[in-house]
Amino acid sequence: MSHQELRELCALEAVGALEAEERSELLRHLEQCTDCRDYLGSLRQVATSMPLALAPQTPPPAIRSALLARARGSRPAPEARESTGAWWMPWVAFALAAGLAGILLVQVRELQRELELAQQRLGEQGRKVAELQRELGPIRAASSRAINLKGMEAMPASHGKAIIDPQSGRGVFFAYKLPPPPPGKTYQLWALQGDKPFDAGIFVTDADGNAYLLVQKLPQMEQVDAVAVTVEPAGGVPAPTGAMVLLGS
Amino acid sequence: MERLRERDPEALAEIYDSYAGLVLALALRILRERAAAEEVVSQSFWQVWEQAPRYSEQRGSPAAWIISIARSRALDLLRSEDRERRRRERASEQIERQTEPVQGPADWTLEGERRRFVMAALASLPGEQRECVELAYYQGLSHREIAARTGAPLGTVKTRILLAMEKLREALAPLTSGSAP
Repeated sequence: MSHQELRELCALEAVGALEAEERSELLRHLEQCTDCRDYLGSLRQVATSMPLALAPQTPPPAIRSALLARARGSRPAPEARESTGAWWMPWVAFALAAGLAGILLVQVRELQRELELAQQRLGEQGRKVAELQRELGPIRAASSRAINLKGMEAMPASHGKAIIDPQSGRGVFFAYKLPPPPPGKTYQLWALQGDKPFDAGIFVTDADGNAYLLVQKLPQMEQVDAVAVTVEPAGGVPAPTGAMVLLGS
Repeated sequence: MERLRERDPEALAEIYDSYAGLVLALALRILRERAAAEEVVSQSFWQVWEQAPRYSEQRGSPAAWIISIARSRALDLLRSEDRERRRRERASEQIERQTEPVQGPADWTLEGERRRFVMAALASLPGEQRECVELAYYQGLSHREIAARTGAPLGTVKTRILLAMEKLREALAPLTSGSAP
């Protein structure tokens, strides 16, 4: 084996990346080579230093107390003392204490779990807010356009609003009082440049016929001249085929 | 360590207080699951207690010894099939979290200084070298598995790990030299 190969094997061994066969090969070599042994020792030290970069975490206090209780219990027993009370009294006291400790431990664990869940939820909310801010950023752009949509003859009560930034192809869309689409059909939003439609995504309405769509899939457009909603086969289509229900320009 | 070897529970308490935070951080980095990581803390310090009479400074500093125990425990748990499946389910989330820089409140203690020092050493590595070393150390992957995971040729993975370790050895010399390996 070359010097370079040996150094590689040592580096791999230090981070635990060697497979069994190469490992035994290296160990055989180490038995007779002090230099390689020292080299591996120094690299192992490097590897175990890596976790020092991690931010320390605080373990729940219950782990410490359970560990220490167990350690104290496992020590070699000091010489037996002469019993003065009833033989069963220490056992009853022990059982009571153990029971109480058990209940406390369960309660502490439950509280910790709740705290963790709450922290997790808070983190999720924070992420969602950041995501929304990111998504809504382009909408605040000077190039974005707000368009009101009106219902066509068949559904005059329906209407909608769209704010779309043609440069980033992102935006938001709201629809109000749309009847549910026929079975097997979906509503699809289109942004039009001149008379060329661009797919802005499909959406579903809630029980009141309202809908909200975060527009993310539009290509970059020169400008948005109009926005329309059509009824299309479920899953949506690349170009509009069905009846138009909302339009705004 | 002498008192720990003699099975003094107060010595265990002291060593726990010094290293439990680091052990939990390491277990969390490996397992990405709080409950499992806490289990590793319990198991690791129990193993420290049980094996203390056989501990020898020649095999490494107490910190290195405890870190090695915790890493093996966490990787054992990670490798158990159940964990593996659950880990895969959360894979996308993990990747997102793995790319987050480690940040905490400003900590100007000696440990804080040491942490920044090691972080800087790791940050100075080219991304692909650091990735290989971390996949091995924190995910327990062999060089073949790393090659499969990253799509890099086997020889490249070996070279990356060697270069990374040599660079780290040089960068961390002020920290590691002087104490037993």
